[in-house]
Amino acid sequence: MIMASFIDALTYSALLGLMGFGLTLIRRTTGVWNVAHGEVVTIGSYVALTATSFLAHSPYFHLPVAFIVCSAVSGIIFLVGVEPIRAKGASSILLLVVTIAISLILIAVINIYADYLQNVFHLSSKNFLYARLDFTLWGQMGILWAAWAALAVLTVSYYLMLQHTRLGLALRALAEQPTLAVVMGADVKSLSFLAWCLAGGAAGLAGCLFPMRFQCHPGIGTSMIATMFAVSIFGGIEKMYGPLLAGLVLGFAQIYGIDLLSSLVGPGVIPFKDLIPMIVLLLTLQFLPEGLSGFVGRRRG
Amino acid sequence: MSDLLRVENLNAGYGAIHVLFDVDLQCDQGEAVAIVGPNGSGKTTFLNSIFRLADIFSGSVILEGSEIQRERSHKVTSRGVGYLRQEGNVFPGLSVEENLRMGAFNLPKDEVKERIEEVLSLVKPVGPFLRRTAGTLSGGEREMVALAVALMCRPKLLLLDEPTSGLSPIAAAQIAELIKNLKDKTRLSMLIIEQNLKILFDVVDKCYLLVSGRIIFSGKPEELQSDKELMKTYLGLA
Repeated sequence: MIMASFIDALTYSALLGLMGFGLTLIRRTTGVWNVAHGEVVTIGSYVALTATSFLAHSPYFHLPVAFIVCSAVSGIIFLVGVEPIRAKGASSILLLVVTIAISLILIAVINIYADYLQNVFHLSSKNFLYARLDFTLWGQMGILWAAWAALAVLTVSYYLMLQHTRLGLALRALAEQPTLAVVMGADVKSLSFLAWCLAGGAAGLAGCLFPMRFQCHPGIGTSMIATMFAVSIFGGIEKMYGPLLAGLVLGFAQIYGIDLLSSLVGPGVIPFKDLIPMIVLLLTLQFLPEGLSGFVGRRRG
Repeated sequence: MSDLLRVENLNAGYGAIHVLFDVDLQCDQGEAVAIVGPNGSGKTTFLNSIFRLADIFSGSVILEGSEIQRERSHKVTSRGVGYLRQEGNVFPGLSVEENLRMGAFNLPKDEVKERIEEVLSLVKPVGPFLRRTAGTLSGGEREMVALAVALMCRPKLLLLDEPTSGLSPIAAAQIAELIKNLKDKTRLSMLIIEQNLKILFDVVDKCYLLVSGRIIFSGKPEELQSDKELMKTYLGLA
């Protein structure tokens, strides 16, 4: 039981980190709070469901497909929904509202698709879990290793890209002074598009891996968006490892916190487990507004 | 001298706000041109128009014979135009070296190192703080970095928006000296907005007086200086 909780917490932390990672990348480079990011995660889960059902491989084989599909969806959200309004000088609040509208549209589309899979192909598309398809390695389910490997590879490769390539330099410059980046010849629209695609890809990986350990349904991303925001804010935007740290802390806080509370107060508190990241979010905004990575950077600086 | 930049009947502004009215201006190869005028007369909007950071309603901006007023902002740099903006002219979270590299975004990758060395030989004071984060520099140091960054793209035309604004007299004199050296050592054309007219008149070949979005004087700096009425009314100098 203790070990199962620990594994759950570790896996959940890595998946939260992957989800928060994309949100942070978008926020860091284009300053937009993308509420529709939750639905991009859900689309990743549905890519896993569709590919696994029709091609009969383990969902792990479909990670690249989920990355590509979700990159494309996120890129389209940016090009069609966000950029035209941003180009007219919309404030970040207005852009947040735009992403809420896109989120609602995507929720409808995902539900229609889930209905379609259920009605036409008789798939269990409203509730699915692929734990039975997982492999074991060193006595643990493969999802634990896969989730952490995906998060580590993504964090390291994005870090290397941001710190050591011209493109990465331009993305960092864009995050600081967009107009100056333009004056220096950076194509802000293309760079922002790229950031959204990369963020969508990370969300797709998280979504594809999620059903290997946790129950999935059409509203899974929507129900987790507040937690993703908490990861992004708590992690801070200073460094790309922020979401990794925040995912770890929040994942453990959520799983162990609710275990502790239910043993103290009773199982009635379990449905309120999502309140733990919200409390951390409020405390972060009050006492650590620059987030974990900003705090670490300040201490080093 | 052949004209590098020619602006004809330019009407520009921001959205519904019309700031510039039928502005004509010419800057020849190797020439330094000043745009002077009271606050709010549209000087910065004029420079922004060249980069399409302001909305152009009508008129033309012609660089080396081709119209650029419909060019996307980020492409203007690759046409050989550098821009030192008055505010937000460095990336504060990046190191000075990264700022310089960003300034060379449009140059081929293998030329960047060589260009940094060239620029550092022109703007010598920047050399010692290459590794420092730009946000930690003083106002004068930051302005020098900004000037170096604007030079990184190998510009033929450099737009300078109040490069000595907000600086101490010593720092302002250093910047003015750098601009003067640039003019003497390179064939760089410059379009300068500057409140500190005493510094400017030594450097520039031609002056435009912009008032309420309209050019009301163009000529040599000594001609402007000799017009006591204009100097007093619009520039506050007797």
